Amino acid sequence: MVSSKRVRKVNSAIVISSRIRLARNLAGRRFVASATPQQLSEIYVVCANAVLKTKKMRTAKLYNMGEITEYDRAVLSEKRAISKELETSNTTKGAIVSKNGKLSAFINEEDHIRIQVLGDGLSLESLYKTANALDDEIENNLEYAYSSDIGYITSCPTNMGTGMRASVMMHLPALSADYQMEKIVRALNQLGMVVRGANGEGSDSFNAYYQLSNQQTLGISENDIIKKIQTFCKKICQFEINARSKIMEDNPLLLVDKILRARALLENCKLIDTDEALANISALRLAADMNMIDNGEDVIKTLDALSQNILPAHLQECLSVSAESNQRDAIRAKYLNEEIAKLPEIKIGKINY
Amino acid sequence: MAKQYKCVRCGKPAVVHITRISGNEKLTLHYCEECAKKFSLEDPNIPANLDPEIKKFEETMLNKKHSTICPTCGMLLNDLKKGDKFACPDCYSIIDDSVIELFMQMHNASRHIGKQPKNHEANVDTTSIFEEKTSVFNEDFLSDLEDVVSSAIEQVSGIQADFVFDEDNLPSKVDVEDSSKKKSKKVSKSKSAVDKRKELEHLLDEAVKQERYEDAAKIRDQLNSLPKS
Repeated sequence: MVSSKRVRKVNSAIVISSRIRLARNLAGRRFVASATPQQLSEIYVVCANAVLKTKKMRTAKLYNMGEITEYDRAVLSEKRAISKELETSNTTKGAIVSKNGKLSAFINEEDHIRIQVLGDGLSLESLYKTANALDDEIENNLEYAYSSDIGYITSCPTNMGTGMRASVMMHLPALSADYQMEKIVRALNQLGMVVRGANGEGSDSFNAYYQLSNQQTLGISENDIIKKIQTFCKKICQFEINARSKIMEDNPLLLVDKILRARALLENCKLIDTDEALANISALRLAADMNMIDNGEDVIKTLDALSQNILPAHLQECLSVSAESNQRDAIRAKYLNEEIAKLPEIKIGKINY
Repeated sequence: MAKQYKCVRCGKPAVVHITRISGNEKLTLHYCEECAKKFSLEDPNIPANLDPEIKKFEETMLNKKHSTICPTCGMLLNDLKKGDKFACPDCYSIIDDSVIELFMQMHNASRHIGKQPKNHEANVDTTSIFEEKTSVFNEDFLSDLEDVVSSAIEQVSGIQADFVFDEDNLPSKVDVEDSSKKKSKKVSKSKSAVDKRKELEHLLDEAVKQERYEDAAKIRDQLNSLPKS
């Protein structure tokens, strides 16, 4: 069991954020992939009106993907307020995004409507309540395709039934350093769940950020999906904590070396790309979560904010500069030098090695 | 390797293959030796449509093929394995067993549990996926299945074949037990309920493995009708 005092109990720091997504389609209309542009425009209007009429979305903003700039789309995507699939200049696609960016309705993405709710930490239950309430409100204004046998009809059979995907983003540096992730990924696949790299479908798992989500949507209720994800999420957290104490016991030098190098690199680099920056921020985040930095919780918040701000479009927005990618690496490095220098010192003195 | 077709009537390996062409429509049906003999199909000199029963059967199959055109969007769906894609919600109402297969692969389940719309009724009719298909698969087929299930249960569990199909769905043709067995049936029912479930689950696995989806659907329904443990 956990022996080191430095290893904290299961808390919100390993689970970074949660997300609920519901996929819905209009009755009697062609799916997005097979509809004509004319049909898509009609569907766009019907869905956008239905969503904008709801109480929850009255103050939200409608972004038409064809009308906003590539840069705007990139910022929304980096905030995860829209999906990667929506990052096209197609005028029949859009997203209605709440003011805080946590609640979105995608229109004509893979399905006619996709509701998405984002939240911090492990918060699937409350997120589902929000998604469900919005779903009910939208359904007052239009008719969803539904079968009593196979549930909500989706364009891809993998989403059939509840149309729900519940996912949690987790920070698992010790497990990935210990080469344990592959085993966990395989075991979870057999249990009807998927673990992917943090950027969702198709991305490689990098920087120790992983997303756990359900694969099964048919023959399982919404509440059971959430319970299942929560149960396994907590288990993985425990594995991660065990892996951290194992590293502290077996090879503390390796860990400390990695953390100190990360800090030195982020404070002194002159050119840095997104992936390298994220990987090093991940190491500092681990240090903060293992109480090697004072005010660990605040530091984690700062680091999570940095992780978003150094993404290409955000960098441009935060620093109000437009830059080519080589210049961007220099700007990112300068920004990180300043921000990381503000963090409290790393306390390695207390570690026995 | 040439594809091994199964008899469209009984599921045994097919040896006779008949292709009919009428207008632009082409339909190939496969028969096993027994069924072919039964309808004098093995002699190429005798036109198969002389036999009224086989003619009717082929018409049914042809109609079935026609019915895979979605009434809402006009999409033609024949074979999901070949990559046919659903174009609208109603496409799901015209495909049958292959959808169950697809769902079992993806979700290990084929029926929805969970939320339903509050303000409107179900609007996609998927009864074709789950309904009993007694029109094409006749009494012979069903009683064969009954035999297979009964004997499998007898073999594996050692208990006597006290397994009875839902009478509404199946002919009572193979009622081999005598009345004394029927009396003991009620006593052993609760004890053997778990065994029955296990057997049926096993048979379901087998049926899915061997791609006998008609059988699988029926066994699944039997499973669902068992009292929950």
